[in-house]
Amino acid sequence: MMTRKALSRRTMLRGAGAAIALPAMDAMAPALRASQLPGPKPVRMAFVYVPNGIDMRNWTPAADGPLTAELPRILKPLEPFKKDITILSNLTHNGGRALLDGAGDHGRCCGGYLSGVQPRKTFVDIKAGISMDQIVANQIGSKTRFASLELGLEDARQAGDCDSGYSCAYTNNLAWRSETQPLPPILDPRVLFERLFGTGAELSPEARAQRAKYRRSILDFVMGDTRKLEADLGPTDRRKLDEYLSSIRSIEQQLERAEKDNSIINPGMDKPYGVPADFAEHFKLMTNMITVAFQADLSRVVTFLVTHEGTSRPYREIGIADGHHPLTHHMNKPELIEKVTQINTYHAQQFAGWVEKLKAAKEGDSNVLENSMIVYGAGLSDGNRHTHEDLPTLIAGNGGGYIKSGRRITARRETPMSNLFLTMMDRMGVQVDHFGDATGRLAGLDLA
Amino acid sequence: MVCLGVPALGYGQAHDFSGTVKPLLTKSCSPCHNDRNASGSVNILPFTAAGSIHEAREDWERIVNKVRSGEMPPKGFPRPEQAQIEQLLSFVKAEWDKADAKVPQDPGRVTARRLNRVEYTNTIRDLFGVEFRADQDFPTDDSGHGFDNIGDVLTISPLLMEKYLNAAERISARALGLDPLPKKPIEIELHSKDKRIRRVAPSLIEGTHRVEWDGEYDIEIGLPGERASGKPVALGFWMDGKLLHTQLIETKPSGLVYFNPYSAERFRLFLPAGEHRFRAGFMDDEFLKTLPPEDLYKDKKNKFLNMIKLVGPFATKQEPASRKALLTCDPASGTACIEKILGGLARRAWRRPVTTAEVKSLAKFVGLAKAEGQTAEQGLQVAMTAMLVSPHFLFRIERDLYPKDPSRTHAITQFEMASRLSYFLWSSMPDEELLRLAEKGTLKDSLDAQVKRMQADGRSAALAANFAGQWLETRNLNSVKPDPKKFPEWNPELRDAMQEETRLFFEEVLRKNLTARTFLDANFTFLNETLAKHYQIEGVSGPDFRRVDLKSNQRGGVLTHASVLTVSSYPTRTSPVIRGKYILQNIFGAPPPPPPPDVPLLDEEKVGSNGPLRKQLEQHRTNAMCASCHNRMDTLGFALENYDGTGKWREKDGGFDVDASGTLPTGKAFANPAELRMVLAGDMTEFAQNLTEKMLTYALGRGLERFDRRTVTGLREKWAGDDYRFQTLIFEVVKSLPFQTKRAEYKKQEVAKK
Amino acid sequence: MGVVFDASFGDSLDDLLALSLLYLLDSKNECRVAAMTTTKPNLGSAGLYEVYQKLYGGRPMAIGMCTSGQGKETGSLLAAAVEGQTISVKSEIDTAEPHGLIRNVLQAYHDGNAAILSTGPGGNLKDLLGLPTALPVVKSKVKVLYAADAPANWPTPVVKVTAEMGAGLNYQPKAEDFAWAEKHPVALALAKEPNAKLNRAAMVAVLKVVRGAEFQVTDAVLQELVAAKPAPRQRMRFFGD
Repeated sequence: MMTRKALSRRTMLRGAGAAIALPAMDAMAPALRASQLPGPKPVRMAFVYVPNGIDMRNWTPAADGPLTAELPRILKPLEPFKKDITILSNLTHNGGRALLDGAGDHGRCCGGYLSGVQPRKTFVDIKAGISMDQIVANQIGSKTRFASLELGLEDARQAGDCDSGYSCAYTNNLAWRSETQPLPPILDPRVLFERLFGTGAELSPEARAQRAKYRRSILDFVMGDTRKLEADLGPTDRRKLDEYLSSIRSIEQQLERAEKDNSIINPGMDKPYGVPADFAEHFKLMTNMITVAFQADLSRVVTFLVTHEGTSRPYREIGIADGHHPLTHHMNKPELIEKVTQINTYHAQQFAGWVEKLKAAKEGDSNVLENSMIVYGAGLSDGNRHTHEDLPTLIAGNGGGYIKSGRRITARRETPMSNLFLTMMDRMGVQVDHFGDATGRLAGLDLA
Repeated sequence: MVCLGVPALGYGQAHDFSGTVKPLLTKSCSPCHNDRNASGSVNILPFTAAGSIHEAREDWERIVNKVRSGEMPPKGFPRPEQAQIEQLLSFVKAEWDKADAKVPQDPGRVTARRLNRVEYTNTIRDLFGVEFRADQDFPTDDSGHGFDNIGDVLTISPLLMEKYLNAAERISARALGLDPLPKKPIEIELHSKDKRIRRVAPSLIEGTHRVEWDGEYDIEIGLPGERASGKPVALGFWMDGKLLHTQLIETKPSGLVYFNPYSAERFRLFLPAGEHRFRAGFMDDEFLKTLPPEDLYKDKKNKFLNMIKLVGPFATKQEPASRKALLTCDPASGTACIEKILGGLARRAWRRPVTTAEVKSLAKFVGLAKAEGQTAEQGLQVAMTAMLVSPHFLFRIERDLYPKDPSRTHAITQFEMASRLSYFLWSSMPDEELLRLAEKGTLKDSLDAQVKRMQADGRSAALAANFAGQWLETRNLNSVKPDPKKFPEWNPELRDAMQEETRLFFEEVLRKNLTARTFLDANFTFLNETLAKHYQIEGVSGPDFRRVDLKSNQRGGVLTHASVLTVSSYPTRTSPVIRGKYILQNIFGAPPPPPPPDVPLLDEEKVGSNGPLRKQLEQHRTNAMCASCHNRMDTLGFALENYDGTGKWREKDGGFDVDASGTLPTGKAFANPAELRMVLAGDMTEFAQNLTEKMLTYALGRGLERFDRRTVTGLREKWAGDDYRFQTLIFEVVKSLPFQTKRAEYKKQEVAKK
Repeated sequence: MGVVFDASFGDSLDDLLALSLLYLLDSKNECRVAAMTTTKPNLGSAGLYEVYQKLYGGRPMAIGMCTSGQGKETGSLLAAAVEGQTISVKSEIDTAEPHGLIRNVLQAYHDGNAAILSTGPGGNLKDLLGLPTALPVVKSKVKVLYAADAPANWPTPVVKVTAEMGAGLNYQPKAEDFAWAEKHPVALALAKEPNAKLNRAAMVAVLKVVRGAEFQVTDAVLQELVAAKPAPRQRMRFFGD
């Protein structure tokens, strides 16, 4: 249950991930607004992506069908929620494979994870495909303040190339607005907080309305200017300015939506100070805010790139000093495989923490988890051999009574993951005939 | 310039081809590179056709490089006579020279570039004098070709656009001093007991805090303890490395009875908004030397520091400098003043003259504000916000004179040149002098003088921070994480010192116009006490950096900088392969192709127990196909094995003597790192080519294409003529064809892939 | 050159021999078996493909199996060929959808460097064309289709596989020819049905696909190749491979 925190004037700091309490505000609407409305609850969709593959021997349950037996080691943290999850086997991304382009599995598997196509092998003229979350966001995004939210925990490398000829854009981003425009994730909890719930120096409703008015004027002004500019430009320049224009339009839409619904949401937590050093703390802060965002219907589409594809982040939090990526090329040495499994389990633990929060967030006579489809998965299955079939994937939640959870569903071999996406898009209210490399919808998910 | 018709290439050379080239290919190459078994995806069959030299030029160049460097044929396979190889190489080069001479030079074109984070920060600083750290707020810029200022790669997303809008509002408010402060001051306490304070040294503490508003702040430093015979000591307060305040404080007992002696010092300072690193400490603290370590934090024996408290913001009594600079007249006085202010600002913000119509449309915002019941100043703020999110500010767009005719090249305008110069050398906007010269139309004639002035200006430090930081990859120092068990001396001080050394070194080569050979092998560097200790160099004390002449040849040149050595290592150990690749990529500009996907990693446990690293990596060289690249890579990396994962010198690696000798495929041998450096510095051609390419890429903001080759070779030759003195490179880049001219875009042709 | 092998696998001895031949050529690096699909919704049929792949040291791959339509029954030939074999294909989910599989596989080949050989009903081929993302792939990658039952709107050159292709040939395989393998499916099938009907068209088609349309297929050639033991595979082996 959400509690209203008393806001004090004095500021205090606490430990890692310390927070500043905001000065007292006047017009604050309770966060649970959307959750207390009667009627069918909106379906939410989220993708949580972990890189470098997963130790499949400790992920895949022994049997198909209902998850009655104890879950394998990596999934053990989700044991209390196993009635709410569905594990999918045999989903494949052919676009992640080399096909004709040689090395670069990390760039490909992440760049094409949500788009079902093989990204172009290049440093500069990047081309992936529009990701499915953006297709959904385009369709239903106007119903919420933010069409979609992109988060991450790890900052991008500042210099050098990322994977064998593939631009860093592919491994640093999960969502793609168009085939050339990636949507960078927000990494800083403070930034996410401010975006969702407003900045510290809050304004009165009149002041906010005035600011919105100014902003709209400004945006009109620059749009007009840009159109004049574009007239004399070459095609590539025009494309750049088109990106600019479409970004402006999307802010305009946000402004419109914000105006219709002028309340500020009280998130029931203090504003985070910055990026916590501790991984678990960082994960928790970000996902807590998303839980509130779901409850307040600020957005229904979220992508979460936990760490970059191909990352070499060590996990000192659990005593592992070696980089993640080098570990996944373990030469079949048991000690190294063990470390990889520990990292995989650690990630799953954090995810389980979020599932718990989602399940505890009541909505009507169900909860947010039941009304969501949270996909947790990786773009590679065996990180050592860079395989792209049987990608480890699980869905937490029921998508609003659509998914019959608590079981493992094994699809036919080589079933495109895009089939899952088509099915999910159906559920989000977006009808498309084709997506990526799909051969049809994914059967067997429902039968509630 | 009018384009010639498609040049008719003489294929009369076919008989020479079939005499010199074809038999060599068929005999030496096709056994592994043929239809059925295309090693490394290369099938030599198409290249045995004479025309391929021109049609498949890029692939041919790769062949030439590999043959010339000795990588192909791989060791153990029969290699043709050197004379035959020479014949092949000179024949191919002659063909290419002939073809190139017939084609007019193509200056290429740069896509509209948006300002990246660094450029945004610097531009705001120069425009308003307001400190806004874009790298703390905006998402990371994507990089291409090794740099984050490449037009094609930089994108805008709705998230970034939101941030631009928020930032513009905030910056214009702060510049005018209109940023609303909270009604009551806020107190932030950074205390060592909360772990918000880091103890850098016994008498120096540090804490980080994000200051939300420009303003004056009461700063209180907590000083527990007392010194029995204490003399007064100077207390210093730094922000982001800059000393802001000192005052003398008493350390002797105060005469009052306290269980825990304690005092606090207070002073009021102006602090700008942004995330800052604050330090408080005693300067020239002689008393410390007399204290045994166990007494350092005993409050009856010593006085030390444990808290920094900030209370504020308080409205400043004086007018912020930025506001004074902006309001050259009173905006309340009427339209004339408003248009004057906006006109002057827009000219600087948009980096070009503005039309009356543009000024009037900006002035409309003031009218809008007034209609809302606000003051003219607040209206100005809205107009400034609009200015800062306009594409004219965020993008550097260069116009095409002949948009329909891409074969017609033309010079860029004076204003476009001003922006190119300033963003190249300063990563910031053109200053008043550049704009004035552009307005007069004389900028392009006074390039030499301007470049000289710009290099001497302090803002050229941006070249070191941005060009060198990306070329040498030292920016990655912020994200590497050496294992604290293996490298206990690693801490933020050491990391900062490493970065500073390379930055200052680069600046020295730039400012003093030293030869670029200095990068490869030098007899001086920049050190402070922390780094000197790391390098085991005596006689350097204190936190400040100074130039130090090196007595031994253990250090000298960027390949011996701890920064470079650390970013090219793993968290727990060195990697000759990564270092070799680093050298190939950043020094020679010839990065090796990627490895096959299934290659396993080195066994970490075995390293250091069963045999030296060298033996472990011999695996790379036993297989001929792996050896072709690893011979060159590993040999270079092994030469640096005397430097461990954070750049410390070592004679032994886990019990085994380090063997840093080797022989390059060219035949040159070296016995230790110093000799390697001499070998490298001996032949500047490849290094100079690489540096020229990188500098040109950075200056233009686009990757280099085939047609740039002549420019690059020409630049390099001119540069060689001046013994590679660094400033000459910059002058030549500015004078080069692609920097001065451009053309319209060709229609996209699908490049035929094999 | 990659060859996609599609058949109503297990129904006729021709197909078994044709695949032996194709895999033999694969082991000699004359071609690559790109994918194997069956139009029989029969696990034994898919499993038999797997047996071949393991026997001839081919690259491990998913097998395409149609899940509807004719051919569900296991004929005596098929039953004999799979008897006693270790097969990991236990249910439908161990197989792949043929049309998606073929499309995926074709994408890994250079333009014009793949071919499809289909000796049975053209159901999988029709499904392939029906998949919207597959049509452009087929158009650019497939050099030629040899099919007994090609769909009407197939976009590349087609050669019809008919019984006449095998005319004039008398090659008769003997179980002993395949003795190099412990349980070669052909040997097992021949043991059970020594007089199985043969029209040799499929084998001819294989040779024409791999060695070119002008290649003259003679009994001697068939004798030399069809039952031959595959050459040992040369592959770069890394630790733990």
